[in-house]
Amino acid sequence: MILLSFALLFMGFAGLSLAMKRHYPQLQPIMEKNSQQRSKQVIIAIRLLAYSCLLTGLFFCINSQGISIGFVFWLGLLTLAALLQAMLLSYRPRWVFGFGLMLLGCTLFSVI
Amino acid sequence: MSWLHTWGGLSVGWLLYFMFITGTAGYFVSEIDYWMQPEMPHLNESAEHGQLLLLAEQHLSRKAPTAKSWRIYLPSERERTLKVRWQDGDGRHKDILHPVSGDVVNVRDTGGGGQLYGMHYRLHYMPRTVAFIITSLCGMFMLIALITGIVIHKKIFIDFFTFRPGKKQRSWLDMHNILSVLPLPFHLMITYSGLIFLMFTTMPAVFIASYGVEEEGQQRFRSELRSTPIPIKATGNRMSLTSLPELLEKAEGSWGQGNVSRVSIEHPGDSQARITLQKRRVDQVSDEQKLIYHGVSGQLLSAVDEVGTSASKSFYALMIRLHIGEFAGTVLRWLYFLSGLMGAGMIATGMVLWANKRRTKADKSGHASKGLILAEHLNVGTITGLPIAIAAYFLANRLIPLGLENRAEWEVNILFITWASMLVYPAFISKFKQVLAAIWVQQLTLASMLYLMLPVINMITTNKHLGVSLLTADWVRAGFDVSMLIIGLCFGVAAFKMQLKKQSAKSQGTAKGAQQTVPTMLAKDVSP
Repeated sequence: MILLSFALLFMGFAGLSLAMKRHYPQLQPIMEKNSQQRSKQVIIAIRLLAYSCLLTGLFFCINSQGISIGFVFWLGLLTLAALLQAMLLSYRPRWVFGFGLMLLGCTLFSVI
Repeated sequence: MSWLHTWGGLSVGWLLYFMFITGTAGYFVSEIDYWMQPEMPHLNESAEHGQLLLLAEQHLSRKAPTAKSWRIYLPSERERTLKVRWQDGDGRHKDILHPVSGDVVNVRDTGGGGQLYGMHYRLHYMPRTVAFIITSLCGMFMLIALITGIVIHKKIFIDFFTFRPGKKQRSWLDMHNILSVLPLPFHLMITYSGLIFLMFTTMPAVFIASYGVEEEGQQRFRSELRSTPIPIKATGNRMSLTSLPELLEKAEGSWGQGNVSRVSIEHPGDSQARITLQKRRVDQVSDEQKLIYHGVSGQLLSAVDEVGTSASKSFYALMIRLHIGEFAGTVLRWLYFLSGLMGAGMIATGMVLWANKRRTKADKSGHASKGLILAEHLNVGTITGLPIAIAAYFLANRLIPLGLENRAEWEVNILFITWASMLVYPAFISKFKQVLAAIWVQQLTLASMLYLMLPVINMITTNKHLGVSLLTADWVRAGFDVSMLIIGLCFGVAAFKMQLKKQSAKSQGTAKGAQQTVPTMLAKDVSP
């Protein structure tokens, strides 16, 4: 559950940075080349999706750890996920989504 | 605001760094204790808790029949031994018992993780009250620095993930922001709750106003605060204690198997003896439950259930428990540790930023102030000097002869002697600012060597080294040794990268290159 929630938080942060002016060009090569200009709606949609990822992460934390520890856990995981996201964006921006997918894959694997 | 952030942070920054590093080590206090007591057997099993209580009682009544109080700590997931403490006319004593046979485990005299972690609020070489006031003051400065930091950081969300390496001052500021903003909930919580922890020392007037200054009122206050009944007086009539396993059974009936963490007995053997059973707190962040029995008749005197009794007390308890993180399992414990390290990093980058900014100006004007030089020396002597001192503390644990008097105290002395020499050393060497970079490299190298040496020295001096711990699945000891190797490698990489930068700066040959200061070089090396 913790791994799943971590994967969700990481993907959430990846989504948030994708919706940011500064980081979009860094992540862009793996997106469609001709989507230079993104419409406002797309950005809002990405943001909503990202925030719902973060909240779903909170849900899974609380679900597995109880409300008090779950919340503390969520904050701790948020810190780790954001740190990883920041370091990847600085040094290996292209790995961001690969890493996120890998995390989700690991989660699926551990569930099975 | 900016002024307040800069100078408020700077004035106590080195002490705060010390508090963050030693406090963070405290999240692994039991694990460090275990490593620092290599005589402690690696245990997978323990006898039934009722049986353990009997063993502990036998031991205590043999060793301290007339003690004022006994405390028996039952084994848990993290602390697998049976611990007994007692208090008599000579003070407090402690024994560690084997959780199957009940025999005393003779461990070396060491301060262990508890000493290291305790230093983050009670410092050392000074009375507690003084230390509490100093650390509280630091905490207040920290809180001010955090809040002003939030206010002056105009682009928290835009800069959220931003780290631009290789851009000198810019990179340091980015890193400072990342280390501050990402674990911000932790930073605020730990600083605020730290202040709450010591509030009865720093703001005694508040409770004195209601409870008075007399000892009786103080006692009543402490008793209400800790949910402990007011201490009783012994009558002097000797009577034998009721059966502890029976009480345990009663308590476990309502709390569940294995959920009693501690049994305390006041005035054991007296006709007015009192027995308190405390519930293990692992399932919730905030809750405290106790059952108090009469020590002779075994009658239930009162049941303390802190849940929802008083809002202010619940809040106080919540803050304390969030601060200590006792409830955290392995993963959450590492997350706490990470946030703590990031806090130390936040302080370190802040100090380097301060010095770096002034160094750039000083290089232009050709005149460096005494304050700047002092700050640069304190930076290198603390940021790398303190980790070196902690490595020395661990080494001292293995190398000081076992029979030495005040051995535990000498371990701490060695920590502070090492730190002091790291602080003083640059003052003797660096007559020129160009040498400062070399001192950083030297100290980083020294730190790396010491941490890498730890598992080796452990191998030479004990039989609980990696070769054994890995084979016998003694994960805590193995984890400690491996962590030391990783820390050593990190310092090694930092030293190596800084050496490269130093050389490239030299080979450029320009005055500018030669004068390039440490922080700008380090900036590129914060991460690979």
